[in-house]
Amino acid sequence: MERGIAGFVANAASACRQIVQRLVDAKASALVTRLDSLPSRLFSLTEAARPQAAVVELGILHLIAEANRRQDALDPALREDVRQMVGWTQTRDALLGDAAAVRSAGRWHVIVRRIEVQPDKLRRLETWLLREGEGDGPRFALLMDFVPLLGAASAGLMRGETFEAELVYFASPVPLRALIATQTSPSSIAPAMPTLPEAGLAQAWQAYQEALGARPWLGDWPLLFKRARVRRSGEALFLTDPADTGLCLPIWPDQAASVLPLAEADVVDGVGLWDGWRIRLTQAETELGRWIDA
Amino acid sequence: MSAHDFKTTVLPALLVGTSRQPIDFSRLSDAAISPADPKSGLKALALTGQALRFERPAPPSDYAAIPIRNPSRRNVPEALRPMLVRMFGDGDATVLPFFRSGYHDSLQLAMALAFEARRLQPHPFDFHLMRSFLRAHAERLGPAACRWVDREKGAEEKRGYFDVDELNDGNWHQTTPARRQQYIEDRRRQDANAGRALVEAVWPNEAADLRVSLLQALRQGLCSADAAFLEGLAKDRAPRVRELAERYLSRLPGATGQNPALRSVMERIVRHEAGFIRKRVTLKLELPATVIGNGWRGWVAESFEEVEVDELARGLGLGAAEMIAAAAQDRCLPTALTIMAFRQGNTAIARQAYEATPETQPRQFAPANLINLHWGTLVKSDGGRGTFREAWRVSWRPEFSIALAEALVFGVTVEEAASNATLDRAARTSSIAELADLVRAALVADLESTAKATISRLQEAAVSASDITDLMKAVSPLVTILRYGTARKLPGEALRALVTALAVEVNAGVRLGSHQLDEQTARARLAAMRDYDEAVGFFGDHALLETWRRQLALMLDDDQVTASIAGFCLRRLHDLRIWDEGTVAAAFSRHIGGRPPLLAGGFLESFLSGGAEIVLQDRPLLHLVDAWLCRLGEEDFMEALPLLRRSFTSFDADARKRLLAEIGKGGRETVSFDAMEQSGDNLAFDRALPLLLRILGVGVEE
Repeated sequence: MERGIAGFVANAASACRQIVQRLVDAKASALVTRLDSLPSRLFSLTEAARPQAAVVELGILHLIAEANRRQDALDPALREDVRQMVGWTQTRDALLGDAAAVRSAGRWHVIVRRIEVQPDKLRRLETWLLREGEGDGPRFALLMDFVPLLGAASAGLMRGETFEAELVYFASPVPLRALIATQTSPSSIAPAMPTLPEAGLAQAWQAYQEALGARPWLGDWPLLFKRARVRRSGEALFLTDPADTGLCLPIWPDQAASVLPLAEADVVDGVGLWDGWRIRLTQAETELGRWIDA
Repeated sequence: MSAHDFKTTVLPALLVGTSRQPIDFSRLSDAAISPADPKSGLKALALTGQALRFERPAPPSDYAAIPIRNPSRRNVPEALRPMLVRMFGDGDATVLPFFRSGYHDSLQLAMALAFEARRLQPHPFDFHLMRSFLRAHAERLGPAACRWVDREKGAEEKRGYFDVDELNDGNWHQTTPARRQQYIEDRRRQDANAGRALVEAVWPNEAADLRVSLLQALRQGLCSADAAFLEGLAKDRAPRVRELAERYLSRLPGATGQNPALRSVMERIVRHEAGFIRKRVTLKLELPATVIGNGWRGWVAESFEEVEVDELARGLGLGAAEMIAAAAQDRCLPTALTIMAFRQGNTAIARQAYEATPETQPRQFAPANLINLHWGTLVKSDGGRGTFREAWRVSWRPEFSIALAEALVFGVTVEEAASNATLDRAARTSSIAELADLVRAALVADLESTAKATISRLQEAAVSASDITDLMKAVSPLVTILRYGTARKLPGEALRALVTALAVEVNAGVRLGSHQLDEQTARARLAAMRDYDEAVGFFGDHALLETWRRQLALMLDDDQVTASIAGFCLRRLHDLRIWDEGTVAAAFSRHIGGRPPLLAGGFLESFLSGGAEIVLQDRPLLHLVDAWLCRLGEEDFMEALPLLRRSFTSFDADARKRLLAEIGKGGRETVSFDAMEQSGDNLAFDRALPLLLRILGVGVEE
């Protein structure tokens, strides 16, 4: 901080390496993964955005460290959440046997399937689920699996599949990460996207802010929106809400080619993952047809 | 405290550094963070980061109007889209298992032809899901697919297409390249001369790619009547056209020329004979000097594309099998032969050549590692992610028994002998680098008392050391160990004493040791100074830090100090706000004005070092350089240009553009954040703030 976070960005990799080593020694595996991937996250942004992103990322690390020190001052859900953020784990059996854990049952749709290679040579398989219809319990769920880099990745669920199940959530003020407790129907390919709630992008943004307020280290967050528009400015694409002209979310630059045809649609209903800087569209319905991310 | 407060008061200080611009905590509305709190900076960082997260992204100044096109083709029916994506999509799971590669290619072509015949196109929403299908058959899939495939090409490479249903001699040149080529091939079958005449008529107006494809179409029905046209292509602008024309000429009845591709590869293959009793032929491919790294694969594929295996073997006077055996020792030739044979469908030869490629042979490990006499070697690069895990490579060799017997003179156990041998070596050397290595080796070997004794020896040697760079380099890793620790048990007090002793010597000798250094020494010194400067800051000894900063000012006033080092000193004095802007500007002008270009350039380069982002964020620094530039007369400005170019070379193009834009805005006054437009409070952040303050312990007695 003394020398300026703007200067930290250029040396982020070497600056993080030493601390990562000591965090590995301290068995703070989740923090290690977060810090180890920090430089690559910064470099995925435009050069102008990197210094501010570094402020955000380093600030989150300090928040996690302080929350870990002050666990007694936190609500139980946030306390459990911060323990997971540091590296404490809860076994599958313990979670399934936890009567107090949040549960949500219904028909689930796989909206995103993502594979990330972590710096610790593990492959993280993320399956994002969306529950059909209104009902009790959280509407989104994130299933996470970790497999060795050299091993075969389990086939798991594919994007577009749907199934009936009850999910149990890891403790958090914003329940998101979950396990399948019981699956009551075999999975099949969904003929269409699940029905989205009648809420625009502005309402989705508001829901994100509420989640962020409850869980300051919130990571990627799913946004469900109706009646949005994709607009272009130069080479960049934005997701906008015609009802709230001040809201425009930059779309990931690597989606520019695939998302561009959506700009011809008057109205876009869809789902995307917001990472704090850019949104990655995953599925959309328009008057021109259905759009799916690659 | 509001999001706006953090963005306008704290963020600028965090970006340029709190030593340059301290955070004014009194300006945070209710001053809940006490400046006396040792973690006040970190708390401000965390709250500022969160404030930024609640902000809406800034909208662009305008949006482009998207033209709605009237497509010349219909999209495939909605119900067929998923099936089409499954069959021709890019994902692994999409290819039907019974379509092996060759059949799959044929299926793709058949589907593309069906699309063309029925005037259909894939849905534009699916283009990104079937990239390879589109790239291979865009011209048959319609203008929208062509535009999508061409989207990343330069304007001059893009072509406008329109679809015509019936081609004839009047409109054939208005359609897609593939259809033009097909039309010419069909015309050549019907009437070779008429086909050539059509090509000749449009030839001068076509781009190189299209000229190549039209020339490829003339392969059909190649005859002596084409000779005049082909000979006229000897001066074509595109080398590919010239080579193809030459090759066609060599195939005409009665031609005497040689395949130019064969001639060019033959010039690069060197033939040797080796062996005492039985002579063996070896072949070596000499790559052009411009081909570096793994680029040889692409070069080989391109160069050998038009050469046949038998043709090459004949040229070398060998049989195909002999040629493969002779090429086996070469890095590239077996790959070239494999590519050639595969292209010609000769799988037997391709297999032989593939098996001869170095990648498929057992690796011959260089024995260099094995000649090291050390029994175990610490493999640093593979030492695990934490510091607990260390990877050692262990290898025993018979001569180590002799080394062990020789070491008996130092002691009867390995530990004792190692300790005494280390002390003996330490006593006989005065090199700082060697002593630092011995300290590290003693620590790694868990010889604590030996490490302490070696540290004492290092302190003694530091007093009389003349190479300040070495001393500086020794400080940084030691401070890092003290700051972050390691899994090994370390003598912390002894290490602190060592760092203090080294730093005292550095501070005492750095000014005189920086006089009149040559460029290479100055470069090494600068790198060491940067590390040392950071390390002394982290070490936390205020007396040492003060002395070091005083030395920075003294070095700047010393005319004998090397220019680049003076530039670094001024920059640090500016960064730390030890000198005010006026004093910094005066010193800057004094060091850069009227000096020879080489000295002034070195000064400016090290003054601006540290990356473009800092220069962009530190407006006083940027405007200092700008003001100096604006004061220069035309002659001085022209003389200073090379210096500036040298100083800004390390900034990338984007950063240079941003710098120009920043300078172009004009105005050299320091920006007052009070004057910035209030963006309005962020209510969501306000709601989140109590939790953040609770997490950070703000307003809680600790």
